Amino acid sequence: MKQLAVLAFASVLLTSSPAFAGDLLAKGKAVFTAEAQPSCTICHTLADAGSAGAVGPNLDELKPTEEQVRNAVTGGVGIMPAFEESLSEEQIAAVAHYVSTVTGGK
Amino acid sequence: MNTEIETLQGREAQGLASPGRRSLLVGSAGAMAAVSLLGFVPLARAEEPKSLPDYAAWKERSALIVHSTNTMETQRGAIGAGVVTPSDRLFVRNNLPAPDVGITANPDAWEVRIEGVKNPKTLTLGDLKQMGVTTVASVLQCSGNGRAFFPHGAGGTQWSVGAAGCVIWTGVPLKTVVEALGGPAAGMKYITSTGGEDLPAGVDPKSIMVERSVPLAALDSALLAWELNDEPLPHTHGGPLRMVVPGYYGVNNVKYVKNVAFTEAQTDAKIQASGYRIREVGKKGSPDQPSMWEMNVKSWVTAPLETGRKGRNMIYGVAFGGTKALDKVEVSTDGGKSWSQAQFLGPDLGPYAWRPFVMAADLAPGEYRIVSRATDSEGNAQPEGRMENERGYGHNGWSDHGVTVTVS
Repeated sequence: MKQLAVLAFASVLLTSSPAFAGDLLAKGKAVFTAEAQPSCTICHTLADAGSAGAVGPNLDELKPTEEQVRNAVTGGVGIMPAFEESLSEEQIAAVAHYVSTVTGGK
Repeated sequence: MNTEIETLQGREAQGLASPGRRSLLVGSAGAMAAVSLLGFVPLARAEEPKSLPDYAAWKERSALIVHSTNTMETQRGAIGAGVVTPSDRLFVRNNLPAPDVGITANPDAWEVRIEGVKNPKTLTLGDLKQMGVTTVASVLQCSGNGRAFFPHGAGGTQWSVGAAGCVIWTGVPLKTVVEALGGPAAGMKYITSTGGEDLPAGVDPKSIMVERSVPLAALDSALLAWELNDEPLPHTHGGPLRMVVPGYYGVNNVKYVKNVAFTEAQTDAKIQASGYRIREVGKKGSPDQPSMWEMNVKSWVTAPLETGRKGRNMIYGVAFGGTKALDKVEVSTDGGKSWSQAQFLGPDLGPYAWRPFVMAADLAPGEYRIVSRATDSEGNAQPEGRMENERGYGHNGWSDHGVTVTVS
């Protein structure tokens, strides 16, 4: 358990460095536009992703925090489905970082 | 905008004693003041007030808090003593984007299919208007009204008290329609209504469609409504035709209803199967949990909200019993230590409507925690606390719904 904690701490340090942060954004965008099923783009408007879905909230207006995105994607909210079975924790972390960053919710 | 506010201030000066009553603030400051004592900001973090979306552009902007394109809440101070909530300040909550406004261009041509009856049939709104008519007052309230007061950060719109209004519906009793079609088929236990929204391609329809089931007993009161507050039902609120189940939470009042089926089981659409279910924090929704059907007894203070003048103060609010009539409303100015009975204000519009109430209190300078507590005709009173649940539904705890007022 302690080993995992050390690894987790180390990976947080790594991902917050500028080089990795850029990768994480690109990863998150890929989840948003291509990897999530159903695609985030069907229901959400997000200028950076070029999507204009109107079923769920406009993310540029909502400006969710990273935690809000993580919670919503993991467990679903309202009519939004849960993605914890179909997306890995890495993918969820990446899309949470991406959405909160490009909308200014971070 | 300025002209409208001046007019409202003029009306205020004419007849109302309490200062600060019905102060309609542009943007979100009014609601923020009402809940800021909880130490968090329940609204979207963008600073400028959003304008109204096109499909709701006719509404009174200064009376609303725009959370998003599909969610707009009435300002706490914009609800008054007039019983009926004017349509232009009634809240909006859409689960899906509204269909094209063109559906209300020729309202009488709208079609609704009735199934699960001896003689299933597709009827137009024009047909329905020939079959019978009733006018009913009811409270329209979102299941999540009061969600902002739950501390666990329940996912969903952070409504405080403004996802509620009391309105007048005109339409045909569903019972009348069903009897004309031979009555429900044997063994049917639910009324399942489907909304006429367009669903985007690429998503499983069951996961997003608005299809709700309510128990057969609702047939006694349900109506298919084509008018809201004496005008053709606006597209914004589900026109040209809406299933109205008086006393039930808003989601069951299916907008632009296109199908009404009497069914043996509840629909397996996600909005019914796992959505709108009451369960403990941390659990997923599932069909074995209670569904958001009949509303619980509830009340809240609408004035004063922030400040008062020393001396005689009129404390106003609204109260309702869901599907039951009210017995009484009590008000406390000391956070619930001592209570006095308030008077109902205005006509009784029936068990499904709300009743404004008022109580006079002599207040010396100081800070007061003003709370109200309603009791229905079966003796159910609002609890002091909240019933913690994952999605923050059905909050009717009197403590959270109070206001802190400074009198000077």
